[in-house]
Amino acid sequence: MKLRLIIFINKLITKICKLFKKNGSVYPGYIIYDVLRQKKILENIKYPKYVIAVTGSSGKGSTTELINYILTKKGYDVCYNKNGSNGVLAATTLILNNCNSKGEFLHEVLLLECDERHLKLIFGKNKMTHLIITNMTRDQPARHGNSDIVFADVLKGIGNNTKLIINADDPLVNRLKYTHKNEVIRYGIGKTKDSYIGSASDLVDYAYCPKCNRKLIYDYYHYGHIGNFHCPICDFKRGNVDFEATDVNLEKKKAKINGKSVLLDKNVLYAVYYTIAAYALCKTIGVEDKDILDVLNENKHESKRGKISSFDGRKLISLESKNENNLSYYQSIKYITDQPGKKSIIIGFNNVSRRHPHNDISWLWDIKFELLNCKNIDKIYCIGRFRYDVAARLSFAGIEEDKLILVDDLERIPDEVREKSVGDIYTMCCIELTGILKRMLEENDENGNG
Amino acid sequence: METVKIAHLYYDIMNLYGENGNIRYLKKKFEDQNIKTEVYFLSIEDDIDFNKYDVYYIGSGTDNNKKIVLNNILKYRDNIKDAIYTNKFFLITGNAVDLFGKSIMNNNGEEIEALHIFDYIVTEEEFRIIEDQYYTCSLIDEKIIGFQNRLSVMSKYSNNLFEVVKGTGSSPNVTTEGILYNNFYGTYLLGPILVRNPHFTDYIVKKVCKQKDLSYNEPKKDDICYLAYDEFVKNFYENQ
Repeated sequence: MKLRLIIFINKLITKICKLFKKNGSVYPGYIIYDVLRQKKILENIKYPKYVIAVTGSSGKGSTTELINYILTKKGYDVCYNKNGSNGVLAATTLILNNCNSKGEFLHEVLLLECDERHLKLIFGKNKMTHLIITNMTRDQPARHGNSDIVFADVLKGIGNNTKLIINADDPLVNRLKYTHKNEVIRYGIGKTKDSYIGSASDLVDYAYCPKCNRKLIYDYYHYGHIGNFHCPICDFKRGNVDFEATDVNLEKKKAKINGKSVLLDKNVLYAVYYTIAAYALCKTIGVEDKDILDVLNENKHESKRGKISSFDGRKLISLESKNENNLSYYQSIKYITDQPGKKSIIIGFNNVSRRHPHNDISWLWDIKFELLNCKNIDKIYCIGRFRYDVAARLSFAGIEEDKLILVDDLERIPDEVREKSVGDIYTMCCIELTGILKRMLEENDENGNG
Repeated sequence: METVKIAHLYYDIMNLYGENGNIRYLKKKFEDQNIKTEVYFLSIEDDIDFNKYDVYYIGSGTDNNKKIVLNNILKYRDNIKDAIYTNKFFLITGNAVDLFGKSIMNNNGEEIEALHIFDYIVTEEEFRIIEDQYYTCSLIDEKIIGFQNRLSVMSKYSNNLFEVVKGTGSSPNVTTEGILYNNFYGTYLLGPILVRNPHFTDYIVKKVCKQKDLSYNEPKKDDICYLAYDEFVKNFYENQ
């Protein structure tokens, strides 16, 4: 089928979706890719000078947002998947909608957050000019199997024409330094006050050298297997990086990148990672240091995570934590425990995944819930269909029994929280329960904020 | 005070699915019986003594890590055989089960020598078996719940640990799963299966106590893991 016709169909279906007030980010791509079986159609597009993809287990959405923000501010004409749909169907919709009838892409920059497993489907080899890989950690095991499988799939999407910008603090990703045939730009975070040395029983995804299978030595960890490592036998190491964040001060939301001060839009370590990744990418494509710093230090960029409202005169913060991803939960837990004052937490989910029907809950045991075993945590409410499994895990984190409350009837939550807990309220729930809780707490807010 | 020594083998490389939960629960269960436990974390770069410990545990790893471990564990073949024959306890979950068979056929068609403690041959398939599992176990009255995520398929083997009620056995279309021999308990179920199956854990703890001539009191069965088990069975099997 001719490219011109495919593009027309894609645009027509998108318009129809909009007419019926449907999102329309995936459905047109589904018709083109799956129904009309035009699986190679994106290879026929005449791409612009910059085709930038961002992939990895976590942080790719925030990284993409920030790159778009910087480049747009500096006058680049950027097209990116701002709604976060990052699979091949959404990419097909977006790319075809932004081409003229000859298949020429209409913007100066194509910037895509890409699902790790779909990267190879979206771009045939050598279409990407730049690829950022944020990290490869255990994530959605029922879907992905394990990070080796994901990494192998990412490799299938990388050709020799692509410049890589990689997180060198992740040994699995850092392997590409030794194997990729084009430029590899590496970034990382230097030792911070929260860096730690692991103990034997600490969970580490990637403990052994990929070149010689000897156990890696870590000078410090940031979290999970992310840190500064070297092999005691061969030359595999994190070593010096091209872009390094130092002097990280999360309380003041500040850090330095290669010695230059930058403001962060969030007081969490992963904000340093997406800031330095965006910085490295922009610098690599030729944006001047000063221009990047000007934009970052305006500090007007809004980060999308962590929605704040109130209940009963107390701050109510909804944190998104990805199920089946222990480090996503870790970041939320670390964020909560780093905040001052007393707090209570509502945690739970009704389904393990929105993508598959399985009930694997092993990942709960990989989350460092032990951090919640501190005096500033007043109560932890376990809700949802898996509340007993969550409570079982929490009971092994050393959390006192009277702090841990199982709530069978969700309707009781407003009264329970109001009458029996103190401090700011944090929720770490699935999207469905986050919505229900927010509505319920707002409707029952006696201070009238609802 | 008598001590139960638990060896968590290859803890840093066969640790894909919350395996730490099994060790923590086992430790708690012994401590509930007023029995002291010592947990040893041992891996590739350690010398593992298969006489020294009472319980040996290995969990799941990536397919690549399983091969790294296989290369390492082969040197202990005779010691492991002796330990199993002399009734040491082995709890082996997920694809660690593959290590104990005769060989592993990888998906390049190569046959890799394994420990050959048991006679089964494992084939690594192109497809993965990813599924919730619901089994019976002749050792206890309660059913077994768990999850599998594997590309390994096991050839026929007769001393099985579980019968499939819902899910997949050692290979597709087979209604039995797992390995039971003396005190060797192996299963493709992965992750914190002892936490999720407290009744099965009680069976193991009781048996260890009996073997070591330690006093054992029937547990009250009121910890949160029993409730989690009941809730899961109710939600996903009884009410389905």
